[in-house]
Amino acid sequence: MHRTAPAGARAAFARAWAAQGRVRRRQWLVAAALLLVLVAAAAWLGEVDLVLLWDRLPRFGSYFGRMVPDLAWATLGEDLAHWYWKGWRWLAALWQTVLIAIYATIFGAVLAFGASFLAARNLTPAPWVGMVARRVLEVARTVPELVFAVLFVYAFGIGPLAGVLAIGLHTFGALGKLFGDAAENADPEPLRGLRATGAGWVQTMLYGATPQLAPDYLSYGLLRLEINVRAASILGFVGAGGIGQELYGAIKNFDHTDISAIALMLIGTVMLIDALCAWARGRVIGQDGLRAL
Amino acid sequence: MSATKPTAWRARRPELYPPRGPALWRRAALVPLGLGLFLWGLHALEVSPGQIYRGLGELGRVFMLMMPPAITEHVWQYLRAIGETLAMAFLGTLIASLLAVPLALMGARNVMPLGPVRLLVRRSSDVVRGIDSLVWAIFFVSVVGLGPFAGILAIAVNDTGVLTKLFAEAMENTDREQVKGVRATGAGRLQTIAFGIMPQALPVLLANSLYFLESNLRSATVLGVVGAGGIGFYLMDRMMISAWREVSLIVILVLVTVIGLDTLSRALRQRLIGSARG
Amino acid sequence: MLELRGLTRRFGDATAVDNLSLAVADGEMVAVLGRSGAGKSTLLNMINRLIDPSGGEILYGGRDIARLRGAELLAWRRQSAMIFQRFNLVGRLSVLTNVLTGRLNHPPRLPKLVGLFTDRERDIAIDALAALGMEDHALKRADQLSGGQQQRVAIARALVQEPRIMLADEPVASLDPVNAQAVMEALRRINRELGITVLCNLHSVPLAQAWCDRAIALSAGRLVYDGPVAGLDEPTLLGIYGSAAALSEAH
Ligand SMILES: Nc1ncnc2c1ncn2[C@@H]1O[C@H](COP(=O)(O)OP(=O)(O)O)[C@@H](O)[C@H]1O
Ligand SMILES: [Mg+2]
Repeated sequence: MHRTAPAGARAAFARAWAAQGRVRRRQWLVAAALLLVLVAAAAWLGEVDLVLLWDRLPRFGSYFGRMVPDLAWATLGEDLAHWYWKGWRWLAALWQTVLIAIYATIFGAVLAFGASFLAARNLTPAPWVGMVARRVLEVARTVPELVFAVLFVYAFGIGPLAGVLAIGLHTFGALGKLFGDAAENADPEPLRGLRATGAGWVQTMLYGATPQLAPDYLSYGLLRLEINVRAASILGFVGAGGIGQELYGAIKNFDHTDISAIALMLIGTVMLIDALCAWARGRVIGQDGLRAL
Repeated sequence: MSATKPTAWRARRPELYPPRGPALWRRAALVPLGLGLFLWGLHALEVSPGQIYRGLGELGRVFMLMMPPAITEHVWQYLRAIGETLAMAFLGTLIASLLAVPLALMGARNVMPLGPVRLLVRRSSDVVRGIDSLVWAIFFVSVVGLGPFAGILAIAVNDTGVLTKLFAEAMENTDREQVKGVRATGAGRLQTIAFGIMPQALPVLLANSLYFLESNLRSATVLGVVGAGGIGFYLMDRMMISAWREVSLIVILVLVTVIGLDTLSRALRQRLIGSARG
Repeated sequence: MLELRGLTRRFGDATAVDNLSLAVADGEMVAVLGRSGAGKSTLLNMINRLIDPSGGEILYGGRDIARLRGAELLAWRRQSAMIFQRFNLVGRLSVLTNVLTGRLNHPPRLPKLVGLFTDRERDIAIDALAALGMEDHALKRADQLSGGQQQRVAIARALVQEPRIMLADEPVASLDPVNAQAVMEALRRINRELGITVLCNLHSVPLAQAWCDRAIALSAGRLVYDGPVAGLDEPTLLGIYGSAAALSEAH
């Protein structure tokens, strides 16, 4: 190995450093300009009108103002009863929303469980099967739930089944992708050990891959349940069951206190489910255990 | 070690065997119980086998009607609407990201010392997040009128809630040692945030924003249902009049756009995470 | 009898096993020697068919194992059990369940998909664990055991397959000397008492000489020695390992 003259090396380094700095700065400028152009184009396409927004700002206040119910200390019970005049009906619809989310999550997760082994490059029984599985999952998670919902309401009729299927199908795509990515990191050694015993593909997946992946899958599934409760709350807009129908009706009819009543119930439920899922996830991740099977 | 009849271990090691007797029945009873619960839920959801059967047939029929996608003179309208949808997702995410940074700073435990302020920020972001962007869209349509501007505002507000939470968590997850190192140089509170926390959190924030750009594009495609601009309006409209071959065209356009943006954003995200690591 | 005829495996341009022919009688215990990269693992994996041969035949009981497919292939894998250097157990499953996975390819197969094994299969599995002194660990998670214990569980799993041949790929390379002795002794007993043919890749010549009757040696995928372990004298070994330095590693 030769020794270069230190002074020459230092000069070369300084030159390279400066050159790199210039390139950096130019890159930043180009990126900033690009962003500005994008923002301008998007603002034009999106019909952004800040003056209008400023003018209409007072409406925010009045809109929310009208949502506040008349509550007085003296007649609190009656006032609350008046505010929640359809309380039981809303509660039933809310319950239906939660059920839709749970069933859709189960439906989607079960399908995604199977699909993940087909889609993962290291587990797939054949490369072309993996390709097909990944494309199917991509379509299922790209089409928005609401589009599926409209289609299913048309095919299956108005009601919660359309909601379950729509969210379930989307969940299948979303979870299938997440599951598949997790499965690609599975430890290959136990799988080889099982294949060597003469276990078939299904058996290898169930006994070799599933125990490794179960904690990840469970955790993702619970996260999805949180998302699906939110999704289920609006499918009623297109007739796919749940509280969304009630909410949509209240909004259409300008029943402002109904809107706030339903929204409060909904937010409370969402928070409750989030907390439950977070607790369950903590247990799944925390103890790593999943007692030996 | 012999190939003859195996030892009967159950008497000596019952715990290695499935239970028998009442214990077995108790365990076996879980199966019909679970099944019953499952069916009861389906009943509560008003699901019937006949409905599924008829629906599947109908679905197959609609699917056949969708083929092949029709390329009509409307296609330019659709493309413009898709551009509108992209604009809604982009501006909505951008505004939300810009609003979420200061809010997250107020909600992060290692930045904001005042508990009540943190609580207020976190809880209100929960509330905002708990309301779907479609509901916000209805609200904003009644404020600024029909069109994509309402959609932008809806996405921006809903996402501010989501991103505030995520950003705050990213800030809280920064490496404490590095932050301490900055503080040890005599940096003040603001300087510690600027040079200790933000440089670590920034790539995560950007990656999150990009991820939500993808997710918002999906939301933006349906905001048109309530009149808040974008391709959703046409999608719903063509479905209502059963123009199935145009529906399939729109769905394909949406698929291409979303997958294209996903690919682009994934590449950008990987570069961001790469540059944060390397 | 297991007979290999012109068995070959290529990876791209490289030939891992090169035109290998040899015969192993039932009930033999054979050491497979050779330096790292000589093709030992590839050979065993081909016999079990975890790796497909590029050419040649693997004859057993009058059938060409190299051509088996589908259910017949799986049935063959069950009959030719493998032991791995890294144990290859499913860490999150219990020791007992790991051993029971050796029965996955025995009927009845359907109940096993939901985790139901017959009492007789549990008897067999616990017998196998007891034969290796592991029955008291049956309900522990496999990844909570030491290396030596895990390898004994892996041998128990292989045993319950009721194999004709046992293929052990460096079974003691990750173990300390005491555990290595115990594992080699178990393999020897399986060979003696059950008459199961054992092919054992070994990184150490003394181990081969202590536990096996016959040795074969590979160099760059070719057979360079086949004979009794007693015949492994210094010049022969130098021929197998190429250099004194490589040889000293194998001692
Ligand atoms: N999957 C593979 N892909 C490419 N080359 C491989 C593969 N497996 C083994 N080889 C090559 O084949 C040769 C023999 O490998 P191996 O059978 O593992 O040797 P040994 O077990 O004797 O150490 C080595 O040169 C190795 O690099
Ligand atoms: Mg090897």
